[in-house]
Amino acid sequence: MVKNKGKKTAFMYIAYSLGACLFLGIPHIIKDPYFMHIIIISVINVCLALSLNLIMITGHVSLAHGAFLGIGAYTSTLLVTRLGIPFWCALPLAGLMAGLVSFLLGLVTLKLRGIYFALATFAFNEILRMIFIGWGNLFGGASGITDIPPPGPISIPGLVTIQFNTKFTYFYIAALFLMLTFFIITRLHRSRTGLIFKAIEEGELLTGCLGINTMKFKIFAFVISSFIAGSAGSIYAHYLHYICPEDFSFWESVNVLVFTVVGGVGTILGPILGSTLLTITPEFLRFTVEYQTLLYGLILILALLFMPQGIHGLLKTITNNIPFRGKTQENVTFEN
Amino acid sequence: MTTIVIQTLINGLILGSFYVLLAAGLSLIFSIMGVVNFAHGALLMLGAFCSYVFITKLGLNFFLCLLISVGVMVILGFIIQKIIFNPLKGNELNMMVISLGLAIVLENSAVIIWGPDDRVFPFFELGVLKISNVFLPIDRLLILLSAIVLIVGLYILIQKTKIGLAIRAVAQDLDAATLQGINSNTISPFSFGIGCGLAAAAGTLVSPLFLVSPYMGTLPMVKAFVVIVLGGLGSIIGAVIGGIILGLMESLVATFFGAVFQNAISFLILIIVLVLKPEGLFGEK
Amino acid sequence: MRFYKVAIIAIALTLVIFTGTNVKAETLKIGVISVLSGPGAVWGLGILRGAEMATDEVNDRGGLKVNGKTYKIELIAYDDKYTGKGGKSAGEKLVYRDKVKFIIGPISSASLLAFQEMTEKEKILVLSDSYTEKALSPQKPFTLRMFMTAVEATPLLVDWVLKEYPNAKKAVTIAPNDASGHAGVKVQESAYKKHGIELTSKEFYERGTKDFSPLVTRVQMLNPDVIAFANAPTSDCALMVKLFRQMGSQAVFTDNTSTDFRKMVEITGKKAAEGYIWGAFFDPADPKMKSYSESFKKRYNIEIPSYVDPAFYQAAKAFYYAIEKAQSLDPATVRDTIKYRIPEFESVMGKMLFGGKETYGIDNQAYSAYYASVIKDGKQVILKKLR
Repeated sequence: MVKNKGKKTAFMYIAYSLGACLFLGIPHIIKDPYFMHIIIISVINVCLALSLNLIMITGHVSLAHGAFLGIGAYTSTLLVTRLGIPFWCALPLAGLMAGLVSFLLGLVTLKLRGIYFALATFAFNEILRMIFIGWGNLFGGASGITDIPPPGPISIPGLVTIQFNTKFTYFYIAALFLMLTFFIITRLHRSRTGLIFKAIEEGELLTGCLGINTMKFKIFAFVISSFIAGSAGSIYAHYLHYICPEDFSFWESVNVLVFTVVGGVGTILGPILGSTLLTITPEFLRFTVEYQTLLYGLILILALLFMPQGIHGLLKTITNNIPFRGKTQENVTFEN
Repeated sequence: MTTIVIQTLINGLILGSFYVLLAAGLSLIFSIMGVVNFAHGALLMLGAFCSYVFITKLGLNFFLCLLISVGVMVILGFIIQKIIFNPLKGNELNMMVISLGLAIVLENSAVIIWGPDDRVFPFFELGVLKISNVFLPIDRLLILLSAIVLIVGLYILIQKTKIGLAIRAVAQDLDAATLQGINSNTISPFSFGIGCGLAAAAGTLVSPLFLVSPYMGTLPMVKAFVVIVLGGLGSIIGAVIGGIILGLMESLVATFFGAVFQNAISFLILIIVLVLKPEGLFGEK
Repeated sequence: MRFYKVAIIAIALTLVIFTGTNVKAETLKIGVISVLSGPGAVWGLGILRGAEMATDEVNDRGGLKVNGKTYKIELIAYDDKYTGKGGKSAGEKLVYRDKVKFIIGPISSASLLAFQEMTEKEKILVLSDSYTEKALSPQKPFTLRMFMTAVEATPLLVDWVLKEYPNAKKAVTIAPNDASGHAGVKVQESAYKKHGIELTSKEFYERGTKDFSPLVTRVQMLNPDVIAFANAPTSDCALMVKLFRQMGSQAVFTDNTSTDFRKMVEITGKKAAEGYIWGAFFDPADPKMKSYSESFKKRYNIEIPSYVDPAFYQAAKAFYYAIEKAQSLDPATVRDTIKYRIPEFESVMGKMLFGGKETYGIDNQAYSAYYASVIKDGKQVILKKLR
């Protein structure tokens, strides 16, 4: 592997670390519970958008993310409330459940492309929502499940006991999950697997002719993305302490899709920016309660008309046009 | 027992004709622009409100209102395609998301202007035909007839006129059509306009039966998607056959198994078709 | 002489100016959470309008006078979009940013259940109307339900209907397939069972359905004597009644929620609507109700669409009344004042009472009037006051 290390790499590491420290220090800077709430929701949305992005770079638009969020949320809730399994075990199990379901769904639907796949995932989402409502004994019916307990306290003997029933401590769970997700996603994007994902989008037939089992890779992308979404569902459930089927409807899937597209599909920064901005913006629009949704729709239209590459594309255009001292060096990885 | 079955079939046929109109427009838009138009339901609603305004404020005849609102929506569709979809040409994902934004804007504007409540659409007070225990409300029959007329008209337009030829050419291969001298800059918006006009007709025709409200378009649009998948994207015959099949299936399942399955059966059909024969009954692969 | 005249006028003016400005108005922020977009807005806007009208009445007469200070009320309304996440975000902003101590609404159960944990912890008084049974409990003393649900009201209607139609044997319920629909049917089922009638069928339909011909055909097959709508919106019921009558049904229609009877008559026609029974929550002939409807129509240009408007108008008025009676802005004190002194307060929905300990473990459920009404010749006729 030949790596052309530019001077930017060291700079980027420092930037990343600083950013991470700042990010982790948020609860100490922001004391307002409302802002913390918005931040935690944003963090969850970022994970959802990043994971949706993963399946989208293979060229498949999934409208089932809300369903996988729900599968994870309900699984985790039921494991914790009915079987007494601690949150820390329930979280990965929830992700696994979502991954399993997506595996089965993917086997059947990933041979479809474009709108067909989108419609199939949409139908799946709606059917799952109807199951959540209909199977009242298991899922609590249309009014959902209340009194979901937060994760149990962790005590470091002799030092401190950390309770997780406040936003400030729960933030760290969400933040940790985000960092994990970020790590997984960036590794995948930069790996050979990520290249294959993009190759599938550009020409599945050709990629197949190169001897690559495209179906295997597509299912892999789908399962990983659903695993992340399902785990996010667990985090969501134990934060809100209440879940109901309406939170996991097709509209939730659409929301995540919008985050990704407006942020910039195919990039890592894009979904992060898109989900953060689009989670915060409606909160600012609250003052015009009648026009809130209308303005959201208008912003969506304008964003797509003037930023077809998403926010990320816009930023790239701006930064590319700023004259740099010296040449910009790109990180290029070659495979043998 | 047979009367129930016949009644159910008739119900399904009438329901299906509504789906057919909606699906035909959606199919046309898809074959021309390759885009999933999530705003189709909102356009249906807009057409219905257009007719509603004309009939309540100007007291015009129903069919006149229908024609006017179709005309208005064709023009509006033309403009929408030019301003909103054309700049995103080639990027199907963006076009899909922007159609979503459009749907949100249209629906919420309607709520602001007309309020969220259902409104009654004034219509003739017609009776009910009773043929050996089967009930045929005349207003529903009238709607069915109008839908048939419109579909036949659409078929003639697409298959037998020069403009229809141009539309089919653009749908088949944009570059080849342009080389033949067809101006896709007018054909595309025009086709989108026709799609909107069909949606407006569908909305107007069902308003006397189903009331007018800003949210009236969402569920029918979803059903229309099922129909075009079932019938095959881009095929009008497919939209007709698919719509009729869906209407009949919904009616049969709901009547004999419970109304709660009326929507579930649509999703089931959608999944089955996608898994077994994604190109639908009449679509090209 | 002239000098004295000027002096007197000057002194008088000064006195007027100074006593006038002595009354400094502070602002009291009251939060409103409701579904203000999407199909639920048909009901949700009623909460906002009811609160607005009551608030404007108070502000027009100068404001709330508590402990020597006068407060102008400022309503801060947020949309919960009928979801849990929406309700939580709205609640968080109201409590932590806008620092409200009182919340009016919501109507969505998901919304209430999502933010209730926080409002109970922060001791915020919530005046809601969510249908879920989980809304009220001894562990949630700060949540009041300002209005009756099917559990409180419907059995009375069923009792009355079966007394009027003793020969009825077959009954079918029709309800939307969601939480409130299922809840309404559960209540109807047990009420009918008490009279020895087993429901022939319980039909559910998805909200948003507009073509009811399959459902109507299906129910007609069973030929019921009574068709009971449970928590279905009036326009849905009306479309179904129209079809039923077209198919020759002679059944008795009952509706356990408030019906917009004008809309029913408009959709089905006078003949088909004749004899439609529902439980009304207010008497339109009541003079207080009449003057309220007139001001409502003048302000909003539409007829009162549902019971939500007068219900929350009354709730908000009761709330302001309680604040002035208690001379306190402490949520716990105001809450207790509402609960225990409400019988003195009478408004458009008649007298209110708080109770519900047997069902919920705590007396946080409001009870008010309920009338058996029927449509005769296109108009509402009240036949019996059931409560």
